[in-house]
Amino acid sequence: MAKSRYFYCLFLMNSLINIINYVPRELIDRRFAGALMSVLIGTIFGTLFVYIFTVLIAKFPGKGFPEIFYSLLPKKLAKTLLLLFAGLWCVAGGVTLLSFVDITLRFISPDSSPYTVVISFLVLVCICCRFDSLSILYGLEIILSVTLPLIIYGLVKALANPDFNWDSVLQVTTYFWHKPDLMSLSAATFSFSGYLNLAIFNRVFHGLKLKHVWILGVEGLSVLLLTFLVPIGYFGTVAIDRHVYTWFSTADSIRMENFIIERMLFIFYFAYLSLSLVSVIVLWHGGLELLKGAISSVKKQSPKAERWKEWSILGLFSAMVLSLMGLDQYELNMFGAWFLQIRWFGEMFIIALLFYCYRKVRRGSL
Amino acid sequence: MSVQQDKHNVSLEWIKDQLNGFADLIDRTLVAPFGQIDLLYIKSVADGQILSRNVITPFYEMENINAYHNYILTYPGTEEETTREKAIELLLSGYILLGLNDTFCFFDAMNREISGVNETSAESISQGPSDALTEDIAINLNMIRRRYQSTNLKMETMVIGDVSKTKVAILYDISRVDPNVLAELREKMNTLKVDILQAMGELEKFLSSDSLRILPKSIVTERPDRVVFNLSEGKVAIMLDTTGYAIVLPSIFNDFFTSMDDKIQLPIVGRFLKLLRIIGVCMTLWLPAIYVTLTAYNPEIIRVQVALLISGSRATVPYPSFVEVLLMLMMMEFLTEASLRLPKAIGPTATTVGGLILGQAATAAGLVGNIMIILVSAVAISNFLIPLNMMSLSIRVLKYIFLFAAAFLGLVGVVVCVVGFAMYLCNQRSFGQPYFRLFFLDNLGKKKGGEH
Amino acid sequence: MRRVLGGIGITLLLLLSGCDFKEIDLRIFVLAIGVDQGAEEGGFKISLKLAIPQGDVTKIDEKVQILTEESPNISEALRRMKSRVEKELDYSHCKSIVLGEAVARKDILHVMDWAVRRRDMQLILNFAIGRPEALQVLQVRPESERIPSNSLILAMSGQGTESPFISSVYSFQLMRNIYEKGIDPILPIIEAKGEKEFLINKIALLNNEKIKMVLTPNETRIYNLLSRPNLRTNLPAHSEGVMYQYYTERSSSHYKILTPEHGKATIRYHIKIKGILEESSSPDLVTHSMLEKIAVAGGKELEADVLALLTKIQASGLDPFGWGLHYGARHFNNDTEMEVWEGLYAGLDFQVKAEVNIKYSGLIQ
Repeated sequence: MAKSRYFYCLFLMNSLINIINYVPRELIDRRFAGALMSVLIGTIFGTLFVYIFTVLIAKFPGKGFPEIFYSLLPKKLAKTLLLLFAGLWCVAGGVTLLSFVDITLRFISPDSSPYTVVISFLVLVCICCRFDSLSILYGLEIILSVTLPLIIYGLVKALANPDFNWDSVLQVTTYFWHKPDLMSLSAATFSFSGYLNLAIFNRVFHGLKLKHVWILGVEGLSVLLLTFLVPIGYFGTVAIDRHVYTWFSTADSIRMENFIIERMLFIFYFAYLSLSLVSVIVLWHGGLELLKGAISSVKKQSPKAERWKEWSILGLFSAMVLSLMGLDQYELNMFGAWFLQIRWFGEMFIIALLFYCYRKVRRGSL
Repeated sequence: MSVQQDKHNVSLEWIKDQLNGFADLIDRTLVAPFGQIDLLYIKSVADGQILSRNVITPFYEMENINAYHNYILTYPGTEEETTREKAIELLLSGYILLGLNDTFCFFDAMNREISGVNETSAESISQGPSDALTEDIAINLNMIRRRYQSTNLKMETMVIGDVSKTKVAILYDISRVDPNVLAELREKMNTLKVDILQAMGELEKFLSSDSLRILPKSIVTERPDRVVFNLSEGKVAIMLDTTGYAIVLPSIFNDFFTSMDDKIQLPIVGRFLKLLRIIGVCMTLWLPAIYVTLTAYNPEIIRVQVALLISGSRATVPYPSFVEVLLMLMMMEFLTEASLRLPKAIGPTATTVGGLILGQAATAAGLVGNIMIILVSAVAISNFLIPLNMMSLSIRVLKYIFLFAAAFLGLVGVVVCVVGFAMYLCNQRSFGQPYFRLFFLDNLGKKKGGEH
Repeated sequence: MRRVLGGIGITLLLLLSGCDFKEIDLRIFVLAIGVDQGAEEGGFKISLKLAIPQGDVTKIDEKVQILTEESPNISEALRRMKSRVEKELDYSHCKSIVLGEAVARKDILHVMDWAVRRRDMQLILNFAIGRPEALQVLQVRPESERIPSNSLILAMSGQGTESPFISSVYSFQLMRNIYEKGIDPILPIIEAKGEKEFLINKIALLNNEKIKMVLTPNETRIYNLLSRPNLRTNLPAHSEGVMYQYYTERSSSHYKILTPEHGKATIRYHIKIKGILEESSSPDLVTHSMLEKIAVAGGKELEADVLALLTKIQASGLDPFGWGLHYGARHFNNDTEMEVWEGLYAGLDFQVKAEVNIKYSGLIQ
């Protein structure tokens, strides 16, 4: 029974979080080879996806994927699909978590052990993603309302900086007329895939009605352009290549004159760490519920058994993250890039599947 | 009209037998020309003046026993039909048993030691009403009724406590209250099993089951105007006889930071005060943690001039900053507690002496840094900005969690803890109402349950 | 059961984290790093300026320690210096890197790469060239300094003095301009004048690895006027045999690269200045018409100065203003634009238009 504004929260969270999630990396790698065109096309695709998906899912008020699939698809197929999706959700959260562990070690506490950091993240995420969906949405809203002003402040500060080189940005925009490529397209559309969280969160939305879908498009496009172009203004069209975490380096290049904290980096880190922790909570909450749906049995289980089930699923998720801790920077990048692409195809598949379900329901009701 | 009492049920002898051993049990027989009555009461709980003025004197002025009986029945407190248990209960609470011919009446001569309407002590505000709830439920209800003159204000009463037999009144505005809340509350009250109930806090504790909870979910207040204000917002108030406080529920996080001043002040001033409180809470919660983070883990966060200042002030301190903070915070807690318990006359002395020793001597001896002292006092002062005591205490405890997180993980720990705290708050429900949300005013008064 | 599990969890977490932190009083902050050429060929002489915090704030007495170490590479020198102090060296507050002139004349890439690569070094630290050596610059301790190295930090970052001769270069900027096509980096030069004074009034123009040219103080001022808005400076104006100085309250400069089909490519600079009369060498009253004359004369002088600077820069083949990038950013022939630009560069023509507007004659007429 959540208001539609929580959907915008989910969307906004996802589009903001893409700054750390390999998206700028992939776009910047292709800055001379059609990244901008891909951003534009990705925006159109993304908005379209959002629109279709929300319209379709609104036909199933109060139902998540498990309920929809079990009622409309063969049981075996539903189980496999849910299992696959749960994996996708789990990896989505895990990738964010891993890159944040890396960022923390690089920028904030080089002396800490990576396992301390990752375990403290995992403890928080695992405890919190067992909360009910509505609470998580409330929490998301609170965190967004705290971090969004900080992020906007950072962006304004970044753009108002006299050392920001607009010529470099313009130089990149002159590379507009190149044909888009798949990788940057899938990176660009990631900014829009916040709607996928409805797979589970649709349970608390009854009659989701979206007004002004174009706002989502504009928001996604502006976030993407900022993601892509602001670091170029700071590091130029060539040297940008050399920065691993472009956005954190960008934040490190911004100075605040009249404040007890001088470096924007820490404000930015605070905002993004809290935001990405919440995003992992949201994603893993989805993953947890999907997996629970996949392995649910018909008979009602005792609360204790339920709890054990949840904890073992979360243990599995955490083990996945911990096992990926060994990846180095380049492997992690590769992993992220793969994830971005698989995710995009997954998105198309999910929309097609949902359309099929919708057709089936309509035929059933006629 | 007069109903024949069931002799097998209630009899003078049986009652006397039950009350055997009561030194203050008075058993008299008054004889007049037209007949006689038996009086049975407990001296310590019955009011002698009421007895002589309203019972004994009229008896001798009446012409016959029936007229007297009718006269007694005109008193609103008089009870006739009773069971054995009820009879004992009434006697114990200060009623007088009148034996008229073959019937019994219970006359209300309760001796109420009323403390009168006092001024608020714990939640005082500068301007505005200063009456506090009294320890007598009748007066309290009177105060509430006077401030809330609406037919929608409903009241339910019940008695809780097997031994204490405390009267409890549940008040609500039927047109605004959330029926789910009411149902949940009734269910909880009915299952309550206690012997003695004499403080609001106890009832509050029984109502919320979670033993690990750290945040209060119902306001315990002594201000009738706060009760009324909350009733108008669709909340339920519970009054307890003999306590002088009322519980308001369901209360959400935001309610604990509302002072009754906010209504009185100009809107902008009111908002400013609220903002001050929010900043105060943030400071008292996070300042110690941030200090530890800055000194132990991430001195690069602050600008170099400040870092050198802190470093300089800590130059003589022989232990880690975490110990330093913990030490000073504990000292501060001791001081606060001590000045609370001490008699009013020497309270200020303790504060002065403690403050002097902590502030001056500790820095002079090099045991703590200068900046630390500023920080601890800021933490202490900002903690007192919270208008309601229960929340203020909770926040006092909570800051140690952040402190520990900062001590073990630095900035990462603090951020993780802040996010965790926010999520924890959002996961809490106070009688089905979300405890902490961004737009608190969404469903107050107008919507019930339904959309959140 | 839950409580026991929780307890075990917390204890594990505590054990895990252990003591991986250093208290602030166990760190010693490096505020400035000087890089000079070592005695050996290709070696470095690294100097660190360390801040030693004061216990008593009321008794202000700056304490600084300078460590110097020679080594074939920078990291080695820093590691060796670790064993010469009792506390952990912390570079996170390092605000300036001073390159010795000899190093800057040879190769700055190496040092720049090191400074940007290290994760505990800020990207907003100021780069500068030290004359005659970086060490001498670090050793300067002005009388007014209260916090170690603060004077250097304040002067370089523009927080303190707003001298028109200083231009600050952050490390991210240096890196950007080194790698970027069509723009060349600059660095300010700090000269040590004895033990207690330094002088920052020149900038060095670099090609992508070393110093190519050093501008005079006056040229530096003109450079700053062209490269950033609202430079606060005084500029001369000679009118009818009287010398006037006016203060620039507001200034702005823009340029356009004109590439006509026929004829030479031209860069047209347009400078706008709003000023106040500050000084006059004659006791005469300043009238409105005189004010206008002074403005016109000042504009003429400025145009001449700017033109001289621009042609000087053009002659050196450098591009500190980023004209090439500007050209590229407005042309869509991505593959060939830089080659075209290089062809155009040597034959560039400059047109300068300075619009000086002196509003006030000061408090007196």
